[in-house]
Amino acid sequence: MAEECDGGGALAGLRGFVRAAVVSAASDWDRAGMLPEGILAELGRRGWLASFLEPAEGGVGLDMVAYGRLHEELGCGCSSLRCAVTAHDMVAVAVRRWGEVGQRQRWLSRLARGEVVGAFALSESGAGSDVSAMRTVARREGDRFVLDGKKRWVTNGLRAGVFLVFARTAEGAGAFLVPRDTPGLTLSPMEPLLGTRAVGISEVTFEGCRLAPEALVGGVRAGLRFVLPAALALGRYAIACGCLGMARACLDAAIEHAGRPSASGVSLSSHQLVCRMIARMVAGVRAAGLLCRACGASLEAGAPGSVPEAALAKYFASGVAREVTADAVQIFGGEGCLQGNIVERFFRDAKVMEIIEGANEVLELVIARHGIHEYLAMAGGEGRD
Amino acid sequence: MTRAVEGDCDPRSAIRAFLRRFIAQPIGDGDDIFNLGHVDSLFAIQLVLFLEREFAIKVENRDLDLDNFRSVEMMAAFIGKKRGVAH
Repeated sequence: MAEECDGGGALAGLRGFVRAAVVSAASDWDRAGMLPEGILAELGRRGWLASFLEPAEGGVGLDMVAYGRLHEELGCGCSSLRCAVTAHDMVAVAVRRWGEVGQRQRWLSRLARGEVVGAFALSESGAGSDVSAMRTVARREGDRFVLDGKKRWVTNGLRAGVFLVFARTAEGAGAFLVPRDTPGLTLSPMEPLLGTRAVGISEVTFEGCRLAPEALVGGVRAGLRFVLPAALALGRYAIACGCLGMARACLDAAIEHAGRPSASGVSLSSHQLVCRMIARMVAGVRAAGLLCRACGASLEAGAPGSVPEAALAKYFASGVAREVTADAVQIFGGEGCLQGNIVERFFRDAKVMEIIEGANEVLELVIARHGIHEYLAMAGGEGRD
Repeated sequence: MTRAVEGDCDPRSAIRAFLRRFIAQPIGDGDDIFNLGHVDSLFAIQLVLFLEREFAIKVENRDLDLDNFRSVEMMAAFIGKKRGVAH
């Protein structure tokens, strides 16, 4: 991975960029509750937004394994920045997969360059992981749709130029591309979150927003069955890789800290109970890395199992991130509880990862069903995907 | 899973084998799998990925009509249409 991120190819210079421009500033962004102006455009100039798009679409054509490595490296530096890229890319993948030619031409290259930031507007008060409870509606008026409702916890909301909004229609649930300057769309920042505070989370209210017919992505019944799962598969994979990155960063920091001699001349790593924590951290990071790579390969192959595999990777890696960041705080002791210490920031960030893009309890249902389906396939004489 | 050869005439057996993973009870080729109540919210996208990979077709946004995917018969007809073959 070091070779890919430090050497040639689309990820060239990534690790150096994260060290120089992200790690050193991430705590300040966290305190300010906002990423700096222009950081996403800078990633776009480097080819790291919607990077899976082919060059003809405006991207750099990263395969899914390399895409995961991009998110892992960003995750090592700043979860808020990684989350911003993930949400942006979820809009891009939905448009690429299910958009009309005109929608793809209008949005994809601008999303890849960072000229327009994308935001994914799904969650509502009382309708988070349970999207069936969604109350935002889009009613037909002639050839147009009129959108009314309120979305919450919208990542990138405050800086977005386009929102992918999920709403009920008379025929089913649809997904709509809504430009920020649409009359009737208003934004308001939400209270600071426990973690990923710099991501710019917001509420978005739609009051009589009149949408052109070309706002609809994939058809009027395609929102929850086709558009959402395609975006979630990418998003969950990206979160898994970001969790791997933050766990790796905390493991490195904890090992470095534990190796320092204390005032009495004894290092923490000479204590067996600290070594046990480090052993668990190493095992978790290694295992999460293997799951992420397997998921990336499955997504790249377009395997049907890649959709639940992404849920599995996110479920496992976010659990590892929670445990590893907590152990890192424990090893740092009082220093680890100070704002400004990366393990303190990542400890708060990690908890959020167990909730977003499908709470882990919901993902357990997905993973269990996938396990049953695989068993039935094997019992029926088929292989795994 | 064994891939269907692109020129195979009848895709029904591969479709039935895929569906058996998700639906334990016996289903007929004309049964509406979305109305049986045994598939979850991730099933449709997995079905699309299966059809694309298994039969070397591209499911496009204009194809996202559940009537293309409701039953084994409808999926076979859809694949035939995408390949330019009548079933």
